[in-house]
Amino acid sequence: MIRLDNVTKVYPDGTEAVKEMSFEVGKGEFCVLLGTSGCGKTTTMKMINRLISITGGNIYIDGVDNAKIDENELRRSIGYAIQEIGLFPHMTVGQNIETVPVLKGWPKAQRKERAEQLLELVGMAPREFIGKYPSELSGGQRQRVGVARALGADPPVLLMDEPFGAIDPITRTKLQDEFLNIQQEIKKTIIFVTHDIFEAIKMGDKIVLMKDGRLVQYDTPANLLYKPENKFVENFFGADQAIKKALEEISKRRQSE
Amino acid sequence: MRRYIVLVSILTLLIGLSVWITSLEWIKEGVYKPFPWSDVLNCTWSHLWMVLIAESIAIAIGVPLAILVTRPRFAIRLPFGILVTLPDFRKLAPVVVGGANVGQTIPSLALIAIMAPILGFGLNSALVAIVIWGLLPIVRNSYAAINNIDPAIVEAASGMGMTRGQIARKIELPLALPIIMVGIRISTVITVGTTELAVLVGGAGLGRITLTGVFSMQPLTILQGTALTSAMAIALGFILEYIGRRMTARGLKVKAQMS
Repeated sequence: MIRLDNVTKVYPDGTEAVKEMSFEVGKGEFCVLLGTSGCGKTTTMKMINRLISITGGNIYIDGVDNAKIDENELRRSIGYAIQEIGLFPHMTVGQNIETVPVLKGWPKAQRKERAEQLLELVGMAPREFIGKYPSELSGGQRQRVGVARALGADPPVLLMDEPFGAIDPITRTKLQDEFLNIQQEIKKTIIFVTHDIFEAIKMGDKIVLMKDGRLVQYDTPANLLYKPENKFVENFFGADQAIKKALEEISKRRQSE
Repeated sequence: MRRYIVLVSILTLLIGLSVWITSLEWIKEGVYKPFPWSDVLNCTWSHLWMVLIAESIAIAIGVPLAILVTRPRFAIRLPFGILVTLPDFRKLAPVVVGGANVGQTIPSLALIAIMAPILGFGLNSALVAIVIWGLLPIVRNSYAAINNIDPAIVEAASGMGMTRGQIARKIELPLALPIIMVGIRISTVITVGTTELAVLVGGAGLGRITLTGVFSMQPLTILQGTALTSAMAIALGFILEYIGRRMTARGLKVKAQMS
């Protein structure tokens, strides 16, 4: 579904943010880009919808080179969710969710139906919330709206940049569980950026572990934990025994499900 | 409601003061006379007109100028399918905003006075000076309004496939509008004050009354002019505040009502 082929990003000042990244994400797969701050994971993600221009290599979406698609068309066909601050404060919840459908010129009745359907999906009563403004919502509710907005025009691919990053731990866990349930239902191809190893192990079907702009290991959470390819991977997940235990616990729980 | 009562009382007081002075019979017997009704009305009228004209020009120049210096390189489509790529105007922002700040440090009196030798005496040179002084708050506020929009919001819009024009129209403008309106309000109130000085270079306005009072040392004549000027500044400020509130998107007004 999404294939990165030797993707490289060099900024005009010479910094190499991403170096020769190659990996492929299958249809309906949940792929997590994991790494410490500044490792190039967000840059990699933003090259997929061309918010950041690529300087080397190619990205194929469904076999089509994304550089050959009009950038606005491309972005309208890819869901994009960021931290809660990305909601438009002057628009209602309904208007926020309808953003991409409006851009795509859907008729009004269909947009409204879609917005209600999506609010239902993220567990918010449409009648109560559709006319509210972001400032009237809690952080968790805003994030749910953010996810609903990304799903607005039913895109096959979803890019999520630390969407639960600014949320308190309890709500975050709840949102993660909810989102996994939603994903069971909608089966989107998802690229999910995070620096939280617990979140990565919990959410990802596969994890791209990055370091200094390079791909270190691309594997399932279980393999990253039990079959690390090198010392860096091993240390990343297992330097602290308590963390390693907790991660293994999460991984086991997922496999048993 | 209380604000309205206070506002109406102050306006009544100020206008009443001027009306009372104008109608004082005993002064009319003396050497110095208060300005008669016809002059008071004329001056008020011309003052208001100068403010409105100068302010309209200042808005027409200031707001687009401020918007321009927040834009990166962009292309505009002119009629007949001509495509023009404009350079990155953000580089000019320090010059424009810095210029606005420096400009404001020149005393308005000096600015108006200097117009006489440059442009000659008359209404036009007064207007030029008033416009320049009125421009500054508009440019500064409009620039800050657009520049301070959370970049995450703009990036979200862009990531969802909005074009540059759509982002400007649907996101940036509605978010910046309330602060732009504050700049226009401040500028208008200041302009009512600077217009007082227009008479020095041959302009019109209530300054004719106030300054005559000053030069002839007649406190009542000074009050006759200043009371009306103050009333005008307060009234215009209030009207613009109301318009600004009406133009603010509802989502920016509702306060979070979280438990």
